[in-house]
Amino acid sequence: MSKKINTIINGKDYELEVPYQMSLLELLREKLNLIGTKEGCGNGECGACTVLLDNEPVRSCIVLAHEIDGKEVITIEGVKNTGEFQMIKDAFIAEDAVQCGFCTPGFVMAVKALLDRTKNPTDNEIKEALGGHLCRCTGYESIHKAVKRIVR
Amino acid sequence: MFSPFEYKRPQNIEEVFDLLIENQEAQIVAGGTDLLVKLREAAKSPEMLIDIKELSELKGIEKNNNQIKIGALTSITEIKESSLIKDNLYLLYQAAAQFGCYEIRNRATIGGNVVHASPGAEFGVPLFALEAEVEVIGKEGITKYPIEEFWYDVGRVKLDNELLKSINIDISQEIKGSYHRISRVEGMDLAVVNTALVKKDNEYRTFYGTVARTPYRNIKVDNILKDKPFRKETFEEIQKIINENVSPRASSLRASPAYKKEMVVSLLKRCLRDIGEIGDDLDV
Repeated sequence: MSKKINTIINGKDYELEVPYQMSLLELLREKLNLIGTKEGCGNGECGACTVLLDNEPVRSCIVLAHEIDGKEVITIEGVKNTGEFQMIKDAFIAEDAVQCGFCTPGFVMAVKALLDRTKNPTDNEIKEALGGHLCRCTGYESIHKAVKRIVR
Repeated sequence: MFSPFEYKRPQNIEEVFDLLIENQEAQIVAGGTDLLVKLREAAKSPEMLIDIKELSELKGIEKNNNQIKIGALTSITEIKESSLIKDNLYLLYQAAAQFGCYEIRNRATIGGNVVHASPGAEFGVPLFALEAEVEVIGKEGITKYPIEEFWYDVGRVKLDNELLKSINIDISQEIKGSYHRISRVEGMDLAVVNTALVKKDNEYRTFYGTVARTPYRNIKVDNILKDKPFRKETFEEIQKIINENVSPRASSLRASPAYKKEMVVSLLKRCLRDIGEIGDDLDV
């Protein structure tokens, strides 16, 4: 069973015929080929699939594609040509906050959402924003430092 | 993909009841943070999902006279950020602050946490300790239950083609309360064990999570707390009562029964410290 949804993804209008049982993550990766968003655990625990839904970060693996009907989604592809992304990218590189890179799109979306809510997040606000994101390479310290580099 | 189902997003609450009555295999979804995980694990395969997250009448926190009403669709973030909650029901603020992670708190709802009735649910022990009242709405109107009656077993609550409407808490008496949990990681995890304490006048209500099928209270423990002062022996006695009366399941993936039993008492001490009943210097 499927139905049409209307949505804006990365600034572009879409009318899509979507099966009810499809997750937002599957819609992005498999139907729209937006493969920058990664599937890690598939259970909402790791944060790799984080995208913005009406400007709030969500785990796209536990959001149904139909839940974005009438709403706006931003993925890593939608931010990669922005000055904000350049700033986040430079900071991540400077602090060695990327190794294998699988978790990075999720972290970048969480950092973008954090900076959109507050220009000068405290240490605790940074930890809160990133607390639900797993990284098995860097050990988190460098990612935390990268965000601090942006806000200082 | 999840296994196939139909998806409805009703615009008013009457429609929800009709859908529930017509479709006995339908499942309500709000934030989806629990349900969609269960669907993926195929622990549940409903024929229809009824998405209620836009029903505004089930949202928000309000205070009427001496009661705080938390709408079932209130997000965990809203609870964490509410001054009404922080000022009057600090233990619910503590539970909200430790719940999931930023993204999950934004979507998960207190109603979802309650109706899933998981043994270590963040809002289980604090709402039991607060003697919360649960308001349920159906085609026939509103029914109210004490939470202990509503949430009667693992994953089981009293809902019959109905929706949880709100959770109501009486604040006519001064409430001192605290909530603590132990989890494997701080950033994003479920509780291995959790404990909540509420003190009104000199009456204590303490509840322990994941040591029984539902939040567990032992009246003997709460009576011991009444007979201060707190000494090392006081907690040895409490530990003995806990050890004799609960038997957490040995198949838990998170912790052994022995660990759980010891930790709930340790958390009780943290709760008592929080409300100033035992000082930091006291070695108990």
